[in-house]
Amino acid sequence: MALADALRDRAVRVAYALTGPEGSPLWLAAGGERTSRPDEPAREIRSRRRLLAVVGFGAATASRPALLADVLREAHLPLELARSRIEVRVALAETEASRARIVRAGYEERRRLERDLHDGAQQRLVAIGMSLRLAQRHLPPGLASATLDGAVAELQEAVAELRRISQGVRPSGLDDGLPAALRTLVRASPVPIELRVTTEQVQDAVATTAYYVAAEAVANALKHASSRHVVIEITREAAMLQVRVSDDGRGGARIVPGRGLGGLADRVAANGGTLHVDSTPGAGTTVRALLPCAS
Amino acid sequence: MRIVIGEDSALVREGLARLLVDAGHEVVARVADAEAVVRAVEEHSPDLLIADIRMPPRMIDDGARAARELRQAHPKLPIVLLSQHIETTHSLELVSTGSFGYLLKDRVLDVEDFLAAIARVGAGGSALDPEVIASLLAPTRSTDPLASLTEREGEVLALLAEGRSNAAIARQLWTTERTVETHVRHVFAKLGLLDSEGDNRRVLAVLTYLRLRIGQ
Repeated sequence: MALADALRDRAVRVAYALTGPEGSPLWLAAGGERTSRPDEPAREIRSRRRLLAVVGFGAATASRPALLADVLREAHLPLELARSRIEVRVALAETEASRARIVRAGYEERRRLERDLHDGAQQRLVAIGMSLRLAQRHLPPGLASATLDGAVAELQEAVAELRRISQGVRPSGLDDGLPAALRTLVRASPVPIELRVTTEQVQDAVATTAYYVAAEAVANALKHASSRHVVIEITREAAMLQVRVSDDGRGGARIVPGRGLGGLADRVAANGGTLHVDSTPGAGTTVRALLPCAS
Repeated sequence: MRIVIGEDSALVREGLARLLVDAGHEVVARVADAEAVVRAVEEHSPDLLIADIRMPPRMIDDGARAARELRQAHPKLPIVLLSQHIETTHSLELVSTGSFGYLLKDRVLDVEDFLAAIARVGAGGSALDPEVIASLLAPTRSTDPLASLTEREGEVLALLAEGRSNAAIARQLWTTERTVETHVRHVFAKLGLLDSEGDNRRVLAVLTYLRLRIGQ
């Protein structure tokens, strides 16, 4: 590094002073990796009294204080710039991590809501229906019995509706893994969907994101593109999961921030992945998401 | 029948038990988690087990896992699994072995159908929820043999897969048993299945076919 060259001292080491979580000092090297505060002999670099970095050096440099002062004066601006760069990089990493946490918390929240619907309202309605049916079995045919019949039919509708809602909140098949959830998606489709899955289990957040990519792409293919044939392909190569959904529809789809595919791109990015849409008018659409899935 | 009920929601468990008792069955044990289901079956050797799929301890598919474990130890034990939503991972594997039923929980509210379904399973037959069948029968590609069935043949196949006999299908569709037999023959030919004698063996052939298809 330049500082080591200028001082002709291979023991030179720079640690940038940043503030870690909860205000604790965080020492980072130029590449952004964690390090420790250099031991003496060392010199603090400050800007308006704020500690920017600490430069450690060897005994030879310590014996030439005038040279050291000159070099450090020259190095002040580059050191300050380097520290700013590291600060931005750390802030970005933190933002990315917090975005991933928010998406994960959202998935967790959906799971909890689905459980609440399942264990609470749905069960209660079924139990009420059972009581009504029991009463009905002891009534002669007539108005009372017919009224109970109607009430139970309404209850059954309500239970079916709750089932659809909770399915939208979190697809139940996800508890059995991504392939099971996708099979449910495929079976519910009015248009034939070919499903090619060649992967074992992946972590829940990755599986959930992959599922939403497939579900949104399929919904677009059916709703906007009038596709007659859709293929979902899930492959895994090393630590990357690829979700590829292609249709033979009218094409022309693009990622618009805040809209269907845009929301999907955000979701994928929050998991550290990327989303590509290839959609030439008249030539169908291919949505491809790459998701890191270190096992 | 002497029945063991495994269901973690107390409301549903008691409601179900009262309906079964009212219909003349004996409920020998009512338990609320998967381990208790296994113990209750070992202790009471019931004629039928009715269990919820999602149960403690893990609240995922513990009921289905307990059923599979019990099926290995007691190959003839009739089991009906109940679920709040359609899932096929565990149910299809078990249903194609016979003496097995898989129904949505609210199907219990069609009391006579439900009682007929558990009677069928108790007698060694099968009972598969119509909604599960509907989702299984959706063609997954244009070359799917299922797409080649006529509407009537599709209806017959769906009822067959639910576990119903030719006579029951004929009653349901307001037609004669002879006509149903003809439809069944056509369905089997189109799906490339070997026709076999006996209602239950036919059902099992259809379910095995659907299961293999899902495995693709």
